[in-house]
Amino acid sequence: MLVDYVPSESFLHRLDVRTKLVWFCSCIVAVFLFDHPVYAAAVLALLLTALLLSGLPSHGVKRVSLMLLPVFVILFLVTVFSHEPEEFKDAFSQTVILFLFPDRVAPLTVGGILLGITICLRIMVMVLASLLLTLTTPVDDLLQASQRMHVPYVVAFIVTTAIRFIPTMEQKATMVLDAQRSRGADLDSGGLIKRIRVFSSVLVPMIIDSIRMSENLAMALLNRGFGSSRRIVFLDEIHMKRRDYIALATNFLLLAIVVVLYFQSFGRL
Amino acid sequence: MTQQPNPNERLQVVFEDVTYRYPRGTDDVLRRVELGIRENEFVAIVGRTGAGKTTLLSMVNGLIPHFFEGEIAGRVLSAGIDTQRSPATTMARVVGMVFQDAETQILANTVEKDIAFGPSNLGQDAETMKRNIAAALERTDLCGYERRSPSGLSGGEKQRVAIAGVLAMEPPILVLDEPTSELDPEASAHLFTLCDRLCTEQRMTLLLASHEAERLLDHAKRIIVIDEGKICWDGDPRSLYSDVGACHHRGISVPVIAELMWNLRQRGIRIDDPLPLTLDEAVPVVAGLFSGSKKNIASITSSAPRPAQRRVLIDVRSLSHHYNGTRDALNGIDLQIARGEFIALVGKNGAGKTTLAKHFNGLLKPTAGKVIVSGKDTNRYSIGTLSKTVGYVFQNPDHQIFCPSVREEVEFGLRTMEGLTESDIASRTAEALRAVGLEDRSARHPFTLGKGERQKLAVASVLARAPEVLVIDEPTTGLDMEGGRAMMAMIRRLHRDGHTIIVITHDMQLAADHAERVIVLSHGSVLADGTPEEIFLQPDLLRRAGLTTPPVAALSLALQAKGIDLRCVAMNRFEEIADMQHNAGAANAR
Repeated sequence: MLVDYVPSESFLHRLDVRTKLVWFCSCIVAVFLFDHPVYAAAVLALLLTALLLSGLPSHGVKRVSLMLLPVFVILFLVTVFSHEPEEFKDAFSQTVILFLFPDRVAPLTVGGILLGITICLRIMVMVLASLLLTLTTPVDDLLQASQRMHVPYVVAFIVTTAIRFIPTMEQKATMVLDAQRSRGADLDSGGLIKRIRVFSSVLVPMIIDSIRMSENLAMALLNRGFGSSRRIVFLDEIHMKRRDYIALATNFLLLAIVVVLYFQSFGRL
Repeated sequence: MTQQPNPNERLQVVFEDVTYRYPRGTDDVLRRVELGIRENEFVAIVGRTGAGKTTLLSMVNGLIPHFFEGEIAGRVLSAGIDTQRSPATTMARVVGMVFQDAETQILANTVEKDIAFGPSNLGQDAETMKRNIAAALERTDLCGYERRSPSGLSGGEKQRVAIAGVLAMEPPILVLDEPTSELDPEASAHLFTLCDRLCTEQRMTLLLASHEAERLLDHAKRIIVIDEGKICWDGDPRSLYSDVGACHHRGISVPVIAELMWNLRQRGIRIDDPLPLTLDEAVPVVAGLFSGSKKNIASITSSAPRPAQRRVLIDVRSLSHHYNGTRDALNGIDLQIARGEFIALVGKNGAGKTTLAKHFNGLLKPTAGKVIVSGKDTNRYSIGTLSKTVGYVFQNPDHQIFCPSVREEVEFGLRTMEGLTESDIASRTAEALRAVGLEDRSARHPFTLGKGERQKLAVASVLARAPEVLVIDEPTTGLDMEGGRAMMAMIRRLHRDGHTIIVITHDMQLAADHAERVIVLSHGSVLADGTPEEIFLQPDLLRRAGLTTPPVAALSLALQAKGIDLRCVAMNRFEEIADMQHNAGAANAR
């Protein structure tokens, strides 16, 4: 399963949800400040280290990366050929390796290649940061955090419930796919009309099933007293501990370095 | 026959002349229901699909009218509270309800947090909440599951989490709507034991809808039969199941032993009242039938010779499969399936039944070893090709139905095949619909059909592609007695018409009644492979596989201990033997 909570006692699990949210935002900001791939690679390395140290299963990450591979390839190719040498400030980046078409059209520059790598790394960082957050944080904690931040409970509940049901929908999708493929539905070939038909053979049962599930869910909510009191009491109140303050301090220090580097024009191409 | 409640005892659930119709409905779903359920009672609600069981239960906790509107006449009181006048949130404190689909009742991503959901909504303080959660975990045998993620739990465990979730809100009444219909026998037995305990130790009032006659006989104190929205019977399980004819007339299943005894009586064999309902009661009665003429039995029971070796259709050679490099799902399976066989694939949940079957049409590819289907190595052919030989009917028909008419649904599988003309498609569709008995439904929208008919439609849509082999996963799960019988009759017909049938099932009596060969899987390996008699008369073997001995086999074994060697596991066969014995006895007497 991709985004399913994995119960454990790792350091990431023990961190407060708010600490993790701050780290999450910082990582995203950091990778978007710099165009040079070294910086995005450093953030990615940091996240991968966290993943390995916390003992989380890595097959989810592998699966997502494989699923995104075509996206990476397309993004990379588009980026690589869509930048004129003048767009780069650095002389090395301006170096043109070749032109895709005659008359100096679609140049392949060193800067383009580097930027292409950065863009792919940025996506990986976002994916990995989201995974680390959802794999190590109970939905309940996210709810509490949003309540503390004065997000209306119902809104927060809808979001967290959607997260909770992603693995369920994944299982349902597998069942529907298996059933249709067993009737000869070929999802990878055929003309447009045929494909639309095959696609709807998967989509329609999924939609009908989701509607049925949402009705069941609504009944279950009513049955569990959802909305009966304005004040929601949580089982384990989230609170910041010493390790959270250490983690936050580290985060702010690194972020300060990042900002300084940015204003010193590091990481530009 | 309605029991008059004793006015001195406190009534927990009261229906006062209740009639109900769904919005835009044309018929009343409940008609003039009068009902009183005492504190601490364990009441079962039975009836055919669509009789009004769920409607009745939904009125107890106020889902009707707070969630489903409609026209209500009369009054429902739960723990003294008028369900129509009190908001749903008040009702949640008084009545806990558990539904069939466990998945949508679990809202958090750890067991403990999910159980806490109800109490937090009620605004319980942290101390009370912790105490209630601990108690709920203990009562549902879930201690140690606190931090587990629901997606890693089995169906039975999920259903127990759902029960714990409502128990933590401390309601005096618990309502369960077919909680075991998607569970394996072991999980279902566990759930019923748990219900017993809630009733006796916690003094809760339980209302439960179920199709499982054997368990209701053992556990329920009172059974209410609903037919067409009316309560048509109300009393203790024993008297209900003693009149098998009336039960069948109302579309409800009876314990296997009761049915067997009833059928013997129908054949003119003298079975005195009261009708034996359990194994212990049946053994002396049946032993009496066979006493004094033991020499006859051997000749009667010599079963038909096994058919000569037929052409192998599916050849499984040292097949292993594992998911995601984690645990082994299948290890080293060797198996041959011949044309025309009727096979039951049995085993506990997680034993590898579905994983094995998915290799037959190439949905899964071997991690090691080979599967050869009709001469084709599944590693080298696509599902599209293999599924022309092996048709796979999944458990839930709603996971595949997507067309606006029954006819188009069946045609879908044909349009994926090359080289068929429109007239071929039309004739094959008609033929498939005829084979499953849906020929008069071809223009209907699939979702206007009942569950049993949708299941048949799923079979037809696979059948139209004319596969030699049909794999059918849990053909009768979720169907009532009539639906289940119609389904099995249809499968038998398909088998007679030359199809090779592989049925995956939890229902051991179904396997014993219908299959020619039973394959027992356990922990991803074949534990045993033989005729139903060879398999089901070995209680030790079944126990090792985590299975239970089906009732007729258990009866045979008990008789064997008394020196009567029938070696019979199928109900029909048992009746035939008893009948022959009876006739022989009558002839001797003359």
